[in-house]
Amino acid sequence: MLNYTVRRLISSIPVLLIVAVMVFTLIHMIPGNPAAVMLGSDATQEEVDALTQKLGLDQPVPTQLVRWFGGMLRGDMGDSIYYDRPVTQVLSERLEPTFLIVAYAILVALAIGVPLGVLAAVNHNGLLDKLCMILSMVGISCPAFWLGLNLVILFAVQRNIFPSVGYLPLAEGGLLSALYYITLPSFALGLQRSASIARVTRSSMLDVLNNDYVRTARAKGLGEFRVIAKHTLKNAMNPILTQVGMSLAQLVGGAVVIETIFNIPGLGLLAFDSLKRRDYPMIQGHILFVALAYILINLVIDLLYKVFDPRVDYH
Amino acid sequence: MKEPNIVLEARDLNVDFHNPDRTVKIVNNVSFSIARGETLGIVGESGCGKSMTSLAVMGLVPKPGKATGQVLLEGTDLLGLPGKELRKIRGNRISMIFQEPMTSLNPVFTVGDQLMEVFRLHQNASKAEAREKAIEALRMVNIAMPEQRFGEYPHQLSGGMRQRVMIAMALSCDPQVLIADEPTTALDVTIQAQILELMKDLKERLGTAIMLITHDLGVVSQVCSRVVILYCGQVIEEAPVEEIFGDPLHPYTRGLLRSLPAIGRREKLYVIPGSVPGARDFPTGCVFHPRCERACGRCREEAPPFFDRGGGHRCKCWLYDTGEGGLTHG
Repeated sequence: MLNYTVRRLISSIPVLLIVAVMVFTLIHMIPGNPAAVMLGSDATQEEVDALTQKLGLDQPVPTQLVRWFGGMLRGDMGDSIYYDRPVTQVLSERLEPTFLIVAYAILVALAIGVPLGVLAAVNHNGLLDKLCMILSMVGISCPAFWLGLNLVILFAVQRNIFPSVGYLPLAEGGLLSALYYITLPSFALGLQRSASIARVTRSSMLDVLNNDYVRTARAKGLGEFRVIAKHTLKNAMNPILTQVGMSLAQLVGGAVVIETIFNIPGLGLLAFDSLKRRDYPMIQGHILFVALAYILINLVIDLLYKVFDPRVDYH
Repeated sequence: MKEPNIVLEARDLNVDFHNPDRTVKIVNNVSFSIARGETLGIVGESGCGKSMTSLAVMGLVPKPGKATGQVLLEGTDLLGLPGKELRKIRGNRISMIFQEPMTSLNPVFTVGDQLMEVFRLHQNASKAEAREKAIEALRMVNIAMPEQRFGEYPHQLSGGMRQRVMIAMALSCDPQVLIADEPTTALDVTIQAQILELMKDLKERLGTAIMLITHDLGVVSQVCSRVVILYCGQVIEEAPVEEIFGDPLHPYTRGLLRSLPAIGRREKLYVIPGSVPGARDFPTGCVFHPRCERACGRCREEAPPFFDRGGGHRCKCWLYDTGEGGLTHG
C-alpha cells in the first residue's frame, strides 16, 4: 500500500507540470503589458517598469519558464502584488475557513444524502423512493448561491439564529464558534452535494440488496436494520466514496462563490478578490493549489476503498 | 394421524406473486413433513418452485411474493408469527444454507465476524464467548487452522471451504431443521462428496432434520431417506428413497430417472420432451400432461388428486386411479 501511495504521488508529477505550464502561460495571455494591466490605469511608468522587472517579464520566455519552475520546486510562487507578500504565505493564512467549510459541507452532504438514498433503495419504487428522488432532483437543480441566500433570509434575517456573514478564526474563538459562523455556507454547499450522494447511494444500495449474502444475513435472523446498516451499506460504500471524492473537488471550487456571498476570508474569497484586483501571481498560486488538492483528494479516496472492501488490491 | 416426532410440516403451502395485471402461483398447495433427524429430499428441475418453497419455510419470500398456508415448526405456525418472533427462530431453530457459497458470504466482513454474529444474536454471547464458539464451529466442519481462518475474508477461501463456513454458521445454534438449497451444485465433484459426508455426519451427531433441495438424484440417493418430487410448484410424487429409485410411479419421476447417465452405458440419454413451462403459463389439468407420453383426455382437463400406494408412497397421476378416489388432502 505504501508502495502504491508512492507510485501514485510520483505519477501525479506530470499532471502538476502540465497545470504549472498552463498557469505560467496565464500571465502571458494578458494583452499588452501585463504589469501595466495589473497595476491599473493610474500607475506611473516607473512603477510599471519596476513590476515588469520584478516579475521577470523583461526576460526571454524560456528563461522565465525556467525561473518559474525553479521557484515552484522551492515552494516559491512569487509575491502577491496586492499584499506584497509571498503567495504561499497568503494562501496558507486563508486555508483554515475553506478547509472547515469543505469538511463541514461534505459531512452535511453525507449525513443527509446517505440516509435518504438508503431509505429510497429500501422502499424501491414506493412512495418514499419517489419522494426522495424528487427531493434530490430539486437539490441538484438548486445552485448553491441561491440556497445560500435563502438560508440567510430564513436563519439570519427572519430568525436570528446564525450569523449572515463573517468568520471567527479558530485561534480566536475555538472550533465551535468557527463552525457556528460557517454553518449557513456549509449547509448551502452540503445540501446541494447531498442530492447527488443520495442518488448514488440509492443505486449502489439497489445493486447490493439483491445479493445472496443479504439473504444470508436475513436467514441468520438479523433484524432489517442490521441487515441494511451493516451487511448492505458497507458493500455499497465504494461508489458513494467515489461520489464523495468528486464532491470534495467540486466543493473546493464551489467555495469561491459561497465565500464571496458570506464574506468569509477563505481561499475562495481570496481567488475572487485577486481576480478583481488582477493580482495574477495570487491567481496562479490559487489554481496550482486547487490542482494539488484535487490530486491529494483523489489519492486519499483511492486508498480508502480498501477500508470498505478488503478485496481491493493495490498493484 | 399426526406423528409425534414431526419437526417441520408444511400444509397447503402456496406462494403467489401479485402483479398489478395478474397473480402468478409459484408454489401450489405443497404439503410435506420432516421427522426429527430425517433427511427429506425435494427434487425437481430448475424453475419448479424448489427454492421458493424453502424461502417460504424461512419466511424469506421476496416481495411482491406472499406465502400462505401453514408452516409448522414443532406445532408453531411460522407464517402467522410477527417478524420479531420469526427472527428469533431464523438462524436459531431453523437455518438455511444456499446454493452459491461464492456469493452467500458477505465479502466485506471476516468469516469470524459473520459467524460470531449468530452467537451474539441468538445466544447473547459476549464477544470473547462468541469468538470461542465461532472457532469451535469452524473446527466442527473440519476447517484446518480455524484460528487463522477466523480472521480471513471469504475471498481468501475456496468454494468448498466457504460452504463449510456456511454450514458452520447454519448449525451453530443446533437448529431442529436445516434447509440446504442445492448445497453442492456449485462445487467440484470431490468437494461435493466431502460436503455431503460432512452434512450426514453432523446430522447424526446433532440430530438435525435436513430438508435437502436438489435437482441431483445422485445426491438424493446418497443422503435422503424420503423424497418429494416437485413439478410446476406442485408435489407430484412422494415416497421413501428406495421406492423412488426402485418403483417410481409418476411419468415425470420415471423420466427424471431415465435421464440419469450411468457409468458404462453409452447409448443416448433419455430426454423428457419439452421443457418446464414458466410460472405464468402452467397448464390446466395435470401440469405435466403436455410433456407426458402417457397423457390421456382426462389429464388435459382434470387435475389428478393424490393416489396413495401405501408405505408412504403417493402420487398425483390418473394412471393410478383405482376408482376409489384419491386423497382429498393435498
